[in-house]
Order: sequence, then structure tokens, then C-alpha cells
Amino acid sequence: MKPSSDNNGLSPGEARIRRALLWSAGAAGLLAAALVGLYAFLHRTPSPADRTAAVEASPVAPGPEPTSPETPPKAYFTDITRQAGLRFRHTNGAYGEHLMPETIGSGVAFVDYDQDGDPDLLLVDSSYWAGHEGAASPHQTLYRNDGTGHFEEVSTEAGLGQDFFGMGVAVGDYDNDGWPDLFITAVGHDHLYHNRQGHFEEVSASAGVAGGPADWSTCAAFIDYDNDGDLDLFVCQYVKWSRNTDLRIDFKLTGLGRAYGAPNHFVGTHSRLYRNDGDGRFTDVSAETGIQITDPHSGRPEGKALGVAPVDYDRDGWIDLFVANDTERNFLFHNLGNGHFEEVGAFEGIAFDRNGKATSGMGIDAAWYRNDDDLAVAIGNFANEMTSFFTTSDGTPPFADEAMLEGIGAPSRLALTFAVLFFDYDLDGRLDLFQANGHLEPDINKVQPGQHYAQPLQLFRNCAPACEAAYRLVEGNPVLDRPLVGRGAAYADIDGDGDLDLAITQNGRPAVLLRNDLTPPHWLRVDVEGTRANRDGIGAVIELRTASTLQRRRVMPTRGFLSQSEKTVTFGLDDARIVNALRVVWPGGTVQQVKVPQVDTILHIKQPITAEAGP
Amino acid sequence: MKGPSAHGALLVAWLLITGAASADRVAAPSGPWKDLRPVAEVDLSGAEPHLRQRMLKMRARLDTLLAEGGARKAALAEGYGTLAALYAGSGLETSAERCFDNARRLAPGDYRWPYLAAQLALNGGRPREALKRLRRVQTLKPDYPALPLRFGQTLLQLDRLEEARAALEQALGNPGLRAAALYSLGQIDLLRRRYRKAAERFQEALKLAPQADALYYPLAQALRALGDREKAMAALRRKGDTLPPVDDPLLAEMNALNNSARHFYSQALKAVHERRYAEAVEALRAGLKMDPGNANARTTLARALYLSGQVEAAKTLLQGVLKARPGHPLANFLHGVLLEAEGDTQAARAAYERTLRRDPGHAGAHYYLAGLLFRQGDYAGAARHFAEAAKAGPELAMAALYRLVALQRAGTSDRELKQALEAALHKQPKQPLLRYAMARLLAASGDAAVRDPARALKLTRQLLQQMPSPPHQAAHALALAASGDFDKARETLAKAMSPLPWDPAFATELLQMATAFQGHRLPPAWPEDDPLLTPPPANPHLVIAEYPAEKPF
Repeated sequence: MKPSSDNNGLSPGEARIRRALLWSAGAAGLLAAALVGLYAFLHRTPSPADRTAAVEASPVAPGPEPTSPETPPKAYFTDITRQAGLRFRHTNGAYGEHLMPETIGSGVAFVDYDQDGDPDLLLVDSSYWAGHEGAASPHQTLYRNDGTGHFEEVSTEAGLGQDFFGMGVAVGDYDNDGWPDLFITAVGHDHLYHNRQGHFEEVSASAGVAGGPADWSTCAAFIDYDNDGDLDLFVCQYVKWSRNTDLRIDFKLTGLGRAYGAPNHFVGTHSRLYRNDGDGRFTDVSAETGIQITDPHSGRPEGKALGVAPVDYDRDGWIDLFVANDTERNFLFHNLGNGHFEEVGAFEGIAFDRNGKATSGMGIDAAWYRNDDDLAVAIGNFANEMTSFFTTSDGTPPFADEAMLEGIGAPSRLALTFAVLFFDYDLDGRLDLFQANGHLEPDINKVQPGQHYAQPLQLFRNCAPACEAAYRLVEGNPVLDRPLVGRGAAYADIDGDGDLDLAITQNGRPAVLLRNDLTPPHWLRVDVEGTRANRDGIGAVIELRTASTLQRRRVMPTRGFLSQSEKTVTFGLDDARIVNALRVVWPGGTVQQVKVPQVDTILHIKQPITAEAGP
Repeated sequence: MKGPSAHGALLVAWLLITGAASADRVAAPSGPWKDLRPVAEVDLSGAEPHLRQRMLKMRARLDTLLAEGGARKAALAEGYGTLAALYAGSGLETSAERCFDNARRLAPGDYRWPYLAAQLALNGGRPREALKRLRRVQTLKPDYPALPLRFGQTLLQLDRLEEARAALEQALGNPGLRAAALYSLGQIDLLRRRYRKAAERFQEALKLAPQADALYYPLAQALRALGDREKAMAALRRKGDTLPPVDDPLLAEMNALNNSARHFYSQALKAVHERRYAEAVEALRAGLKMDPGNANARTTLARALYLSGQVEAAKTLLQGVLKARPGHPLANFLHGVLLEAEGDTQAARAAYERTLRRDPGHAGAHYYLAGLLFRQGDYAGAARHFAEAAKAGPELAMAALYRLVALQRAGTSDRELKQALEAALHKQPKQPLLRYAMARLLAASGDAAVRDPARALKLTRQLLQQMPSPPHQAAHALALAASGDFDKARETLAKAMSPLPWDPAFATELLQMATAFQGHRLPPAWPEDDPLLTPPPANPHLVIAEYPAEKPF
């Protein structure tokens, strides 16, 4: 099912040219370094003591900080949290004992729950621990968008508003009735809410997806893994945790005393895959589908999942799952198309960092970021672990971590990154990369001078192929530079102006809503509706061709960390007013060609009832 | 290292008493030293005791030096540098930074402080600062052998790959650095997609440093990209986390200063994980020399000793731990398991109970105490403890089942058992043990309201699909017989008996089933000798190898 090279929109051999650029840049760098080294060698005045050694070991003096000829990227975001009517403040329940779940939550989702055509906002709340209640009234919070980007809380009216220790959220119309349903993960039982025309009814127990009382679920994704036309549910499980275990471990950081325990002190757990039985019920098929990975030495579950990115990475029509694990190797569950998955993360190169070390994987997202066949999987990692940026080579695995080549490595090294999101903030047709950062420990700066509890957001502008490295950090923006204790993040066009706005959650602090005040160039937003595929079209890939580029985007709300972005796909067209071709590759591989009569609008695409010819 | 002594205690007491005074001068330098950066006292409760002592001692020495108006700058710099190294080793980077800074101010011509501060910055994810400091070292000591390698590693962290390459290539000429330089150069080649060159570099590094098994992962990536899948898989299997060695005297000195028990404990845990138990024993002993009072580490050593075949030594060590810490839950629990395996059920029971007094939620102690009580005929007690064990989670599903078996033996009706089983199955519908027990109950219960042969058949068919084992075949035979098809039941039972299971109790049960079927009778639903419905005795090897330790050291 891989597209032939002539329909990918690239000039012939663009990938080769890219390599050649890198080669020549490398050669130039080497030459420059050698010249500097020669200069240093010729101009040194060796002291008597080092005369002999100097010949053997005269280190190259590295040149000055590299500068870039490109114009520094800019972004125009305005914090409109208060004026938009958002009053949500996350409750993490922290009361001094440093219980691990306090520091992880929580997620956010843009979901048009009332089907009025604009994205509403769900903010997942955690809670207080029993016996340590505070003044706030934590609850799952839903805000209705009036279409202009102003929000009004409707939690109770909409049937939400429950108080439990929430973590993440997944959005999907699991019963194909046209109304998006919600699944909220938690410490303890999970919660499935069936959307009955704008009113939610909890159906977790009857649907069979409540999980166990001792579970700690984190990320979740609605996907159609068996291509039977209804959405199944993948639920990440983090570690086997209990308050008693946490207190007994009594994790301490020298200099701070009791601290939030690292996940490697806890036993891992198996994530869950629920198959949608089509009658409102789900069956746990985790064991038989092969997603339970155990340590060959200890026999214990190996997963400590915080992020999942469902992507058909080999484009065979079956959705695969990239799972980011915290302090354990990342998984890649390759969907074999027969109801089974094969875990191939290490073999395909996404399990470890470039040193073969498991990182503290948090949020995850994936994209064809260079508008060619190369897929990138970005994973936010712990402080002093750069963001992983695994990419294929010429469209095929194995993946290699190219963060250092693509301009992400050094700028992301210091940050403790939770959410990573690919989205085109400046509508130039290239997917930019956003990161929400924040540390776990409020007092971390006391012992680590480079670390702060609240950390700036990071937005990397994609300037490929004009730049050697695809990404450049947007710097000097007061809204992005404001330190936050960032966790979840999601994007949507909240005010209908065509550009994408951002919601970011903070741990124990207010959520933040950033309006994108770009003067939009041209754009096209695409909404799909499956008929034979799941109604949301989750898992479909939309390819848009203009005179200059081919963009390939996924219909996938599950992105970032514990969060869901709107499922509408936004294409930035820059100055293009004509879309030459647009096609939808539906889950399973059938292809639908669509004419685009105009741009700067929303296009609704319904899957034909009868199958069209394949690609 | 000597164990705790009166002298040691006095020293610590003195240090603590004088701590307040010392804190003032190091935390607030004054007089001729007022330009030095203050270094606030920090919470050292997370540090290892011997390292804590060293830090306190060094801080006190510095305080004394600062009190002497005419102290030599060199001595003060040495003191600050040493304290910085100690702080750095314990993760107190902010304090270490300040101390290194003071050392640099006091002895600006000494290359050691900017060099070590550069390492601190590099390890803390601040490569820009590291680079500035390395440049300073270059002016002070340009021939420091590890400098090119450090430049290379720092530039690599800054994504300045070609400058990194140039620096690393200089390090290739130094035999003590070559393997490490090849490793980083190979990484650059891998990034540049020069896979063949990368593989060559990793392979050469492995020849120089065969123990550096961290090299196998990038090697596997290079081989995979070259299309050699089999060699890539073979390299992946050998992947470890030992990096190539670096001959760096200054860092070695700093590391020696911070030689910590934790370092050995981590080595030991890795060895245990990889089942290299003898090495684990050695590493744990080395750690305990520095940290003799660590009961958790001693308990882990007992486990490693047991797993390396030194059973008596393990038991003696556990007894030693319990003498010093009678309430230690894990030591009590493991001791109980060993005692039970030796047949001393009374002492084992006491050990489990001691565990539970200190840790009322200890799932292992509940589980094995329940089994012990079950075998002693105290079914009510057994059911109570199995219920507690089952709270640990779904992985102890058998505890939930054994509770029901114990309740049955205690006289609970089949109706109540079925109700409880339904609830358990609702939570874990595919749990085979629960399905097995339910199938047998539905097939052969004496209570007509409970019997449901059709559902029993459905369950046993599912079980056979999951795993066609002899007990499942026997259960299926029972369901067939309950449905009235004794011929097919005998035929199915014959499969379970061919060959006859090695477990004599189970073999007897099957023979009894066969006899019952012959007479068109149904055997008991939950026979006493059924291996799946009987809690097994403690398996010390399994428990000692697998039972998780919340604090292994």
C-alpha cells in the first residue's frame, strides 16, 4: 500500500538532495574545524612542561556559537485564558507526602460534544486524597464554546463534573451515532461516558472498560485496530502503584528529602486493548493480541506507558501503536492485520535513545514532517534527556533518533517535556513542533541549578527544506517564554479563523488557553466521516497536493500527553489558493479522491458507501 | 570500612553540634572571604551515611579554614573543590556549582575546577556552560589528555556534529580514549547515515573494550540499516549499558571520592536481574562494607546468596538481619518461606505473622500464611488471609479462587460460591483458573440451582482453546458427563490421562473420575486433590527470586 514515488509530491530525488546537503554541510564543518584546529596549533605558545604533549594532544578549539542566516522565527500567541472564561485550576491533591500520581496529571481535550461545529474544551481534573481534602471542588470540567472562542462551564448540565483522580482522556464516537464519546483515565477505575446528543452518561461498567480499582491508567486512544468499522480502545497503564508502596519506598532526593518516586522503583504494568463488540460492550483482548510485554528475566510486565501514538507506520492499512514508556524501552506494536500485534520497537529503532538507553518517555506524536515519506515520532523525555525524534530513512524503517540533526536535540535537552505536538501554527504547510514542559519537584532548583519547576513552553518552527535542520526554536516570545508547570496540550481552531489555538494544562495550577493571532495565509480544514470505516474516520490519512508541496496528515485526536486535539485536519497553504488534489486513504487502505472547489474553508468529506478502487 | 563505633558516633555528634557554627561561615562567608559565594546547608537525609559524614566533615573543615583570617587561598580552594566533588556525587548540583565557583575564584590558575565543573554542567544538561569551562581548561592545561574527548562529547550535545567529529578524531590517538572516541564518532556516522563506517567504528571499539556492551545497540542499528537483519538481531541481544572506558585521572579521582555503596548496590541489582548471582553477592558485600547498617541491602544479599546456592548462608544472614531489626517485613517474610520449606510450619507461621504486624497489607505473607492455614485445616483463617492477598491485584487471582476453595471446605454453600465466582469472573472474565473452577462447579454441583452443564461446556471449550492442558481436558470431560454424554466424557478423559500426569494426586483424581464415569456418576465438583484448586506450598526459590522488594537497599 505504499504510495509510489511519483505521487508523493517531491521533486525526484529530493531525499537524496537532502542527504547531499547534509554531506556538504558536514564536509564544510569538518574543514572549518580543521582550519580552526590548525590555527590553534600554529598560534599556541607551549609552556616548557607541555611541549611534548602538545604535539600529541592539541584539542581543536571549537568555533563561536553557530549563527543561522535564516530569519528568526516568530509566533503570535495571546494568553486569553481569563477573557475566554476559563477558570479551571487543576487539583493535584499534594499535601506533603509526595505521592507519585500527584505530579503526573492531567490531560485536556478539544471535542465538539454538542455538534454545533466548534470545539469545546474538556479539562481532566485529579483530586484530593481521602482525609486530605482542601477548599477546591475538583471535578471533570467541560466548557462549551460559543463559537467565538469564549467558553462557559457546562460540566454538570452535560453529565460530567464527577470528582475522581483523573489523568488522561480519549475522544471517539465508539457507537458511530455521530456524537463523540469520552473515556477518562484515572488512578482507580476509568470512566467511559456515552454521549447522548450532548449529554453524557457513564457506561464504564456495562461497557466493560472500567479497569480495576488499583489501576493507574494514563493515556488512551480510540482506534480501529481490526478495521471492522468501530472504534476499539487502547488504555495505557503506568506502574503498579499504591499509597502504601509509595510511602514504603520513601524515595528521597538528597538535598530535598522526600520526593516524587521515580518509576523505576515501581513494578510495570500491562496496557489494555479493548475490542469493541459493536453492541456497546468491549472485550479485553490484551493478552491474545500480543500487547502484553514481559521482562524475559523477571517475568514482570515491562510497560510503564504514558503516551501512545497510533500510526500506520508501514502504511499497510492497519493501525500500529507507538507507546512511550517512562524509564523502560518504548514499544512499537506492529499490527499484523490478523488480530495480533508484534512488538518490534528495538528492532525498528524506537525503543531506546541513541546510546541504547531507555528514556523517561512521556508524551508522543508522529508526523510526516518533511512532507515526504519520512515519518517522525517525537517523544518528550525527562530533564537532561533531549526529546526523541525518531525518523525513518527514505520512508522506511529502521527509525533513528535525528533530534540532533533536526535542531531539536540541544534546545530540548534541559527541559522536562511532557506534551509534544506536531501542528502547523503558521499555516505554511509544514508541521511545527510544540512542547509543554515542567518539572515534577517544586523545589528542584535547590539542588539542580539548570532546573526549574515551571519551565517555558517550546515551539520549534519547521523551516525544511530551506534550512539544514528542519526545526528552529521560536525565541523571545513572552507568551511562550512564560514558565508553566506544563503537562497536557491540545490544539483546535477555537474561533473559526482557520489557525490553530492551544490549550495547555498545568499540574496543580490553572490551565492556559493561547489564541493564535496569526494573520492567516490560506488554509483548508478537512473533516471526514466514515461509513464503512469508523464514523470519526480515525486512522485515515489525508493527502493534499498544491503546486509546490504534498502534505500528508493523520486523522487522529490522540496526540501530546494524556490529551486529545480536535480531529479536524488543518492544512496550511501559505500563499497557495488552489489545491491540485486531495485524497483520503481510509483505514483499510481504500482511497477517495476529492475535488477542492475553494480554500479558506472547512471541507466535509463522507466516505462512499461502496468501495472505490485502491490507490 | 569500620562499623559504627563509639568514636564514629562521637564524631558525628561533634559534627552535628558544630554544624550550626560551620553553616554560618560556609553559608555566609564574611571578612576577607565575603566575595565568595554562600553555600547554604542542605537536607542530607537522602545521602548515604558515610557520604553524609564526609560532606559534614569537609564542610566543618572549610568552616575552620574560613575562620582563620590568614588561611591560604590554595587550601581553601582545595577544600571547596573537594566539597564540590562530594556534593556533585550526591546529586547536589546547585551546591556543587557554588563550591566549584569558589574554588575557581580562589585558584584561578588551577585547571581542575573548571574541568570538573564542566563535567557537572555536561551531566546536568548544560552543555553551553560546559563548553565555556572547557575552553577555560584549554587555556590552563591544553595537554590534559581527555580534553579532546570532552570537547567532542560536549559539542555533540550541542548538535555541533562536525566540530565534535574534529575533536573526537584527535582523541583517537590516545589509547585510553580511543574506544570512547570511536563510540561517539560512530554515533555521528550513524546520524549522517554512513552506516558502514558507523558499524566499523563500533566493531573496532568493541575489540578494544569488549566489556562495553552499550556499543551493541548502535551497532545493531547500523547493521539493521545495512540490511543485515540477523547480525542486527544478534547485536541487539547483546546490548547492555556499560560504556567504553575513558582514561580520565581527574574524573577517576572525583569518582573515588564518591565511592558509594549505592554504586555497588546498583551493580548488584543489575547482576541479579541478569541472573549473575555470584557477581551480585560480591557487589552487595562491597556495598555493605561502606554501609554496614543497611538491613534492606543485607536482605537482598541473603536473596543473592540463596540464588547462588548458598542456602545456609542466606538463612544465617536473614537471621542476622532479624536480630538487628526484628520487625523487618521482607526479612521476616523470606525467613518464613525458608522455614516453611524446611517443614517448620510453626516458626514459619510466626514469621508470617510478624511480617503482617509490621506491614498489615503484605500480600506475600497473607498468601503463604493462608496456604499454611489451609493445609492445617483452618479453612476460615485461610479464607480470610487469601482475601487479603487477593487485594494485591489481578496477578493474585489464584488467591481469590483459593479463598473460595477454603470457604467451600469451611462449609459455604455452592450457591454462595457461585455468586462469589460470578463476581470474580465479572472482573476478570478470561482468568483461566476462575473459569476452570466455575466450569467444574456448574458441571458437578449437587445443587440443581447451581448446575448448568451447557454453560460448563461453553466454559471448558473456551479453556481448551486457551490451553489444551490435562486439567482443562478433565474439566471438559466433566462437563460432557454432566450433559449426559458419558461416552464422549470417557474419550476426553482418556486424552487427559495419556500419558498419566506425573502428579500422583492428580493422577488418582483422574482415575477416580474414570471410575465415576464408568458408573454414569459425577465426581465431586471441586475434589480435594485437584492441583488447580489446591494452594501449593511455598516455593522458596521462586519467592526469593521474584518477590518484589520495595527498597532493595
